Order: sequence, then structure tokens, then C-alpha cells
Amino acid sequence: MLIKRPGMPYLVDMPAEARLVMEGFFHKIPYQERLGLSILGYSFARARVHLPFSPTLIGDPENGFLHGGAITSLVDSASGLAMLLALPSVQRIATLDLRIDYMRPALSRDVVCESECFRLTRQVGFVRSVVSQEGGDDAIACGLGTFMRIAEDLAGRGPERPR
Amino acid sequence: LNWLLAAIAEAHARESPDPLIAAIPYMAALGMRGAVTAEGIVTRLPHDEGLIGNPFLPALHGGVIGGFMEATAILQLLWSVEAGTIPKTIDFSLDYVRSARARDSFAACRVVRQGQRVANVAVELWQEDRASPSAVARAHFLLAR
Repeated sequence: MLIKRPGMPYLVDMPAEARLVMEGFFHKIPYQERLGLSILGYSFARARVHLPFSPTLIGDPENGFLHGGAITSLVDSASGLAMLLALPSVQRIATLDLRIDYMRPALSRDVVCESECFRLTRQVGFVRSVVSQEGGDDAIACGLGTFMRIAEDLAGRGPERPR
Repeated sequence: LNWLLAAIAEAHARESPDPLIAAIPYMAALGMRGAVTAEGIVTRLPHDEGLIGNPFLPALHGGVIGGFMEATAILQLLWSVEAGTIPKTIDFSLDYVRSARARDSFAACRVVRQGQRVANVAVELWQEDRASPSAVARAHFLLAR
């Protein structure tokens, strides 16, 4: 873990109900629901997100390889969640850029993305991701995303701890 | 003639990339369409509520933007290179310049360099005003011939 975590409450420390609200929000995003994304786990500044295989994700029907857009969607969603989990309070974010390197083709199987916000400044967050598939130890892709923190709470102060 | 070369031949015969889109499940499922213009392939992604990534604005999901742009680059390469296999994406770098709202989107690309094995492609996505893109991207593709 590279980001220093000051002794203040973070989103991830909130009571279960607050975290359920966040998970509920993840599932209110129409395209993420269409893909069937689910949160496998999360902790401070980290998220693990699952993309189930679907024939509609295939970009190379001859070899059964997934289209890069499927991976981009997974990495974007998981990166945004990791970024939110690094923030001291609920805040809007905007993706500035996203780079994905494809180390090997994605086969016709489920995909998992593990994202980590490794640096957070008052205005910007940097998130890296590793994408893998069941049955393969090696990563199929790597992602690097940059996010802008919008409006509220630019000072980076956390909320009062819930009582 | 393999399935892809057959689809490319049909696309050229119909002066439209749509036969290629129909042959590639991801592109067909996204609902994209294409046209051939003097500058190359121009694609259109009709608005669909299911593609939203930010319900508050509302705006398209970043992954839809990236996938649509990557698909456009692949269509352009298939159209011009006439390879017998789908180009493999080596890397894809995407800048979100402004949010892509809940309306039709368009994309076009420029093959910056095409070598024997690798192509470098620049892609732009816009909505109402071509001069104000919502996203710009560059990608490298591996061309197997």
C-alpha cells in the first residue's frame, strides 16, 4: 500500500449500511448492469471486480478472444471504484485518461480486475489495475488511469466519524 | 476465403463496414453502424440507455467510449489492410476530453503509421460538433497477415 492513510475515517470504514449504499450505486450504473459486473471484494483504495463471460463480448469469433472494449469497461469500472475507496468522503470523480496494455488475448471466460489507487493528491488520483482470467496465473492486461476529484472536499478532509 | 475475408469482400461490395460489424459479436451487440467517407470509415453509436455509465449527468460509460473507438480503429484496419485475421490490440490509450452525453456518438480514425507488423492509429469520438471531441485515443495493433 503506497498511499498514506491518515487517522481519519474513510468510506471503507463506514458502517455496513453506508457501504451497501456504495455497492448499490455500483449496481445502479446501467452499462455495468448490462455487463453483469460484480464486486468480489474491496478495501481501502482497492477493488476487485468480476466480468462474467458473454458471447456478446467476443471481438475475434475465430479464436474466441474478447474485444478490448470488454476489458476497457471492466478496468474503467474497477478503477473508478478503487479511486472512490481512496477518498475520505463521498465525492464525484471524472476519468481523465485510461491506458491499457494487452499482454495476451482474453479467452472466452470470466475476467477479473484488481485495481489500486496508489497515489491521491488534493485534486487527482492515480489508479493501476491488473486483469486476469480464471485458470491463468499471468495477467492478461494492465491498466493505468488518472481521475480528477470534482468540487466538494477539495481540501481532502474527511467527514466526522459516524456516531 | 475465410469468414473474415468474406465479410471484408461483402463490405467493399456494399461500400459499408456494416457486414463486418455484423460478423463481430462485440460490435454487433454495441449497436454501432458505419459508413465509408472520403476520409475513411466513420462509425455511429446510436444512443441507448443501457450504455450509460453516469446516471446523474447522464453520460456514456467510459468503457463504451473506449470499446466503440477501439472497434472503429479495427474496422478501419480491416477495411484498408484486408487482413485475414482480426488485428490484436497491443495497447490503447484514451483521453476523456469532455463527457459524452446521452445522445448519438460518432468516431473516425487516422492510421498514423502502418508497418508490416504494427499499425499506429489515432481515434476521435465526437457528438454534436466534430471540432469538439469528447474523447481522443491512440492505439497500437498487431497485424497478422
